[in-house]
Amino acid sequence: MRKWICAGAALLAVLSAAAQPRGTATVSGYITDLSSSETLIGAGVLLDNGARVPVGAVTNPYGYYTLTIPKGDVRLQFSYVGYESQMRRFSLQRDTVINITLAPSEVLSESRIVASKDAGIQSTYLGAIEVPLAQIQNTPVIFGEADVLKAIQMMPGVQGGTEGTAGLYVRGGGPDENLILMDGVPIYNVDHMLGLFSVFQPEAVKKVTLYKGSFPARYGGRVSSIIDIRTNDGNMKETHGSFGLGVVSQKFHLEGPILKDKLSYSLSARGMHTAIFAPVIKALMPKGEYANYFFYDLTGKLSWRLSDNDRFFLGAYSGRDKFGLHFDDAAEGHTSSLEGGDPYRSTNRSDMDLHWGNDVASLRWNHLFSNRLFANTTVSFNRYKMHMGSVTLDRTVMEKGTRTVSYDIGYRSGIRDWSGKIDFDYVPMPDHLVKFGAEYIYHTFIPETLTILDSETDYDGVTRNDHLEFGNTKKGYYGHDISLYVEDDISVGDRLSVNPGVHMALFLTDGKPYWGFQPRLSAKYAFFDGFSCKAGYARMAQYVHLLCSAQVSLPIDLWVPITRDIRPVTSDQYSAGFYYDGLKGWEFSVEGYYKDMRNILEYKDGTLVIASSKDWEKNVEMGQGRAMGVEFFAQKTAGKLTGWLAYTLAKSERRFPDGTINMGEWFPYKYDRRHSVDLSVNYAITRNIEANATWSFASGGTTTLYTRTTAVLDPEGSLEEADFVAHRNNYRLPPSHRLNLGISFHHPHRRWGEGIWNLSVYNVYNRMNPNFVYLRYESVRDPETREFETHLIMSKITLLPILPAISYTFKF
Amino acid sequence: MKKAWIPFAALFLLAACEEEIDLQIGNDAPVLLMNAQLRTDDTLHAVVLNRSLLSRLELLDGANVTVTVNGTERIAATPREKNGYYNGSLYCFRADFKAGDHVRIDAVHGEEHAFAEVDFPEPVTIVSVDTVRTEMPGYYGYWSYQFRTRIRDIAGIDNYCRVTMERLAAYELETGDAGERMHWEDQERTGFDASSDPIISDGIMASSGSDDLFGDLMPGNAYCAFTDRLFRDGDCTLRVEAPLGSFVSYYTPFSYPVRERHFYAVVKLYTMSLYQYRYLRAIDNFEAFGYEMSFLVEPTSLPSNVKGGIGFVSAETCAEARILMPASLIPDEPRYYRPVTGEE
Repeated sequence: MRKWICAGAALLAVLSAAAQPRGTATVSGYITDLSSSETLIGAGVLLDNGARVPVGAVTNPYGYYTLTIPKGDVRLQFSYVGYESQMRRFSLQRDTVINITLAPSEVLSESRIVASKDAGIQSTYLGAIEVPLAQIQNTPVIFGEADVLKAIQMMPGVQGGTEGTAGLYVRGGGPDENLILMDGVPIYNVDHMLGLFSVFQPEAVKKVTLYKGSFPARYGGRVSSIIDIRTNDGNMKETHGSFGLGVVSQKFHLEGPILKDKLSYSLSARGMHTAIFAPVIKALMPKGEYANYFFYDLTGKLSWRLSDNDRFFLGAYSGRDKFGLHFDDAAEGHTSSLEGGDPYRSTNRSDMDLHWGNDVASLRWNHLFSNRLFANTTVSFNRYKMHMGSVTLDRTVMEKGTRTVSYDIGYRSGIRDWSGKIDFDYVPMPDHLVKFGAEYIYHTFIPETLTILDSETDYDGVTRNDHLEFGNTKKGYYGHDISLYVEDDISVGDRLSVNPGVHMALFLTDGKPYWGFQPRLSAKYAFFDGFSCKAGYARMAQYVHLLCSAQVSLPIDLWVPITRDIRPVTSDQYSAGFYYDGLKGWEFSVEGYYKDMRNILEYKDGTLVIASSKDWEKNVEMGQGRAMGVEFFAQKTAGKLTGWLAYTLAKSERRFPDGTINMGEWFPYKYDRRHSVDLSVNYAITRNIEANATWSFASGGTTTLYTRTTAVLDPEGSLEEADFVAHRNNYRLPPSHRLNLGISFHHPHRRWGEGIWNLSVYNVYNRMNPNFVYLRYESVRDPETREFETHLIMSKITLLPILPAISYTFKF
Repeated sequence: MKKAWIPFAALFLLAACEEEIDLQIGNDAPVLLMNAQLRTDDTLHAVVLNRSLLSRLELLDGANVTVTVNGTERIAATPREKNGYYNGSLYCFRADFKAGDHVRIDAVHGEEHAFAEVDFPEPVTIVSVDTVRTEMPGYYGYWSYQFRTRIRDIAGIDNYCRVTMERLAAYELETGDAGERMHWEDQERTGFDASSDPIISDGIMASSGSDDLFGDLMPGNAYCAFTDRLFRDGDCTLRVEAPLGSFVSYYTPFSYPVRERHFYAVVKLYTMSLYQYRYLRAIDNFEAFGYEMSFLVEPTSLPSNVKGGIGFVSAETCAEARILMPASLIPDEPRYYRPVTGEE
């Protein structure tokens, strides 16, 4: 295999040499942070030759750039948001490698990058946003915990799920339609504490990019969004770190060189355990009962710079959530109420736990075949598993002996992937940036199974054991996911850039192949200084589904593959927009989209949503969805005041023509929210004090309510009273909105580092946004008629009212 | 400092609040509820009226119920005595409906007026019925009949059907010494098993027999409703089974001597509208989990074709086939049911 890759690469190198126009030479290299040698993703290289539209390049996800320009005296400007720009003048006579280090700037400075950027207003793609890391770290969120996905929720076209949770619903899509990549490896479960926090620790994150429109051809496998999260490689120069104490969690980060400028490590840990709240929990729970919960994240990475041409990265992540419930009970008495009955003593002990989490490991190799051909090879392992168990032990002691009855119940499911992929960045000519590659994923879906071990030892010492198994008895369902892609970012003259691409996929499951031809096209035209427009089309396909209820979202929701009968979800998305970045430090955009989805899954009316996976294909229906919307986005990217204002007008509907859901008629999606507004502001009051505010408003989502009592007449002539539901999602919940405020005080220590106190208030004006709603009847007597009237009352449970928080972080 | 966490913990645990939301769905505004089943194989039909409130039903006596057939023929339905079987007010009428009839039922009660319009569909026809006698698995000596009913789809349209089986006992009774005879028939619905038929079980959720923990709770297909999805514009054979004893009845309400007795199995195939098909599937869901919404069960939407109110009026066109059960297979009846022939 390696031979073939090398041969192909050599061929490309020869072709590229032949394709290179005469009189030009290629400048290439890595751009890194001065203090840590961390590679900078999306940094710009600009040829300052006085042209109306300058020529430039940006670094790829591994910090590498390549730029082919005319030979002669050149001035190159290297820049990155939040860093001091550098200008290099030199005489370019042949292909040259220039590795650049940039120094951080204290105030966010503007960096205008014009070429081949992967995301942002300057890129050719639509709906591609680089989420500023500073904004993620400073955005005040619940319990003062900075959160990557919560910051993404504030982007236009992105909705949160249940209030306060990290669920993502992008442009009318479902929660399983987002491909969340950590260093290129998919993460299946991204939530802690039922979504109050995401699994990504901001300290370990270097770059976050959201794609929701005209997806680059290199991405596939989900239909609504791609969230590409890149983690720190580790400081190559010196050891740095931080630790933080918050209301809920504690965190720790350490990175540094093992061999200076050669080998570095990065290690992050975060955890929370209710043990510290044990007295409160015990006081609130009945005697003999106790509950506890913990979660943790561990992220680690080793980076090895073998040479200028070869770099290796070994990354690992492990995260868990565990909820436990313990019951203890004891009783004494006589077998008969009459005196003289046999005395007995019985004890009952029950332990229940629910735990879920991901384990990810990846090995990456960056290799430069030539200054215009860069390759990244990744092999990875990824596992998500959920287990719910209960152990009950009943023990009765009498004179005649001891009787013991025990039940051990286990309910489990999960998914496991092995994958390998190779990606190439290739610049055959100055106006082309070709990306191509291949990926293979071997999926093992571990279906839902429930086992019950029942053991009974009677008074006479005889033991009886039973073993029952429900659900799927197969050890796994397997899927081979093979994909190839190629895309070319082409500059046509000064104003037009086009990015055609194609992603081809083959998913083999149950012996049945599903072929997917997914064309992608993005085009950008720059009218005049600062004004541009874009249009794009993307077809996406998805081969895995998350079976989740329309009413509740739980960790026990089940990942399932497509099968012979369940076809892949596919979508066609058309988008177009206008953009303006001519005002220094500002970016404005308005983007519209229409998305057509097919074969989306939903449980049929009347399905029991747990422990029903044996014939799950019979319990779901394939249908269609459509989503449309307009997104307005204004962002201030530089200066003391930064932030954004986003407004989305959107509509999302579903229809299941077979009629098993909502009688085959269109109905609004659960998270169909017509209006949403997100405002995020960061202000550096002084050098050491930062204030942050966010305000979010979203129209209410939908839910299904019975609206009266009816009677159904069955063919046998029996008339039964029933709750009447005219349509699914027939009731729109009230809108939710909240203001969060935060302020950070930085205390630099001359020798040791910096201490940061962060004070934040979540939901400042205590808006009672609903987390859960339920219905109940209430009878009220009419004072005039003295007759009782029954009212249907919807009650909402608000888990997240005003919540102040304080945290301390020490960076060294 | 040691106890600094207490206010924060308490804040989170105690701050969770519950608040009421005004639903604004017109609490307790009464709505007229009308249900009826109209079939071509029956002449006596009932309309059941109620008043639907938020949390209960009320009877709706004193209403005027008019049935209009094909826009011209008007029939007034007359109220019936309370029937414990129905928790509603019954209004009955006689009519002999046939395929293609358009029927409108109007119910007026004071200011309340609701109506429903239905059409009797062309029937999917029964081409033939074959029977195979098999021993019931696990029941030595008990015989079961498999009825293989060949049906023909109506080309060009989507069709929705359900199948039922009835037992028909036909008696010739001697009512007098002079040899006067009386023909008496007793016909009633009988049970059968259609779970192994791929057309009738098409699209049905995991049901009894499933290894899932709650598999038995999953909605089944109690009314054997099916679509022509798998045999569109063609023929198909439905396979259902029933024990032989289901078609035998020795009871007559008369003490006259029995001169002849025949037992028939009657296969009935009802053709219905798409909405009625969905209505039956919704009833299956209700019967599986109860008639109230449940947290872990996906909500079921209930079709309504009543304008000005809610409810469902169904119209089914029936095709039927009678199969004479061979006398040689009929077991001897118990002595006290044995016909009096005068020879004993």
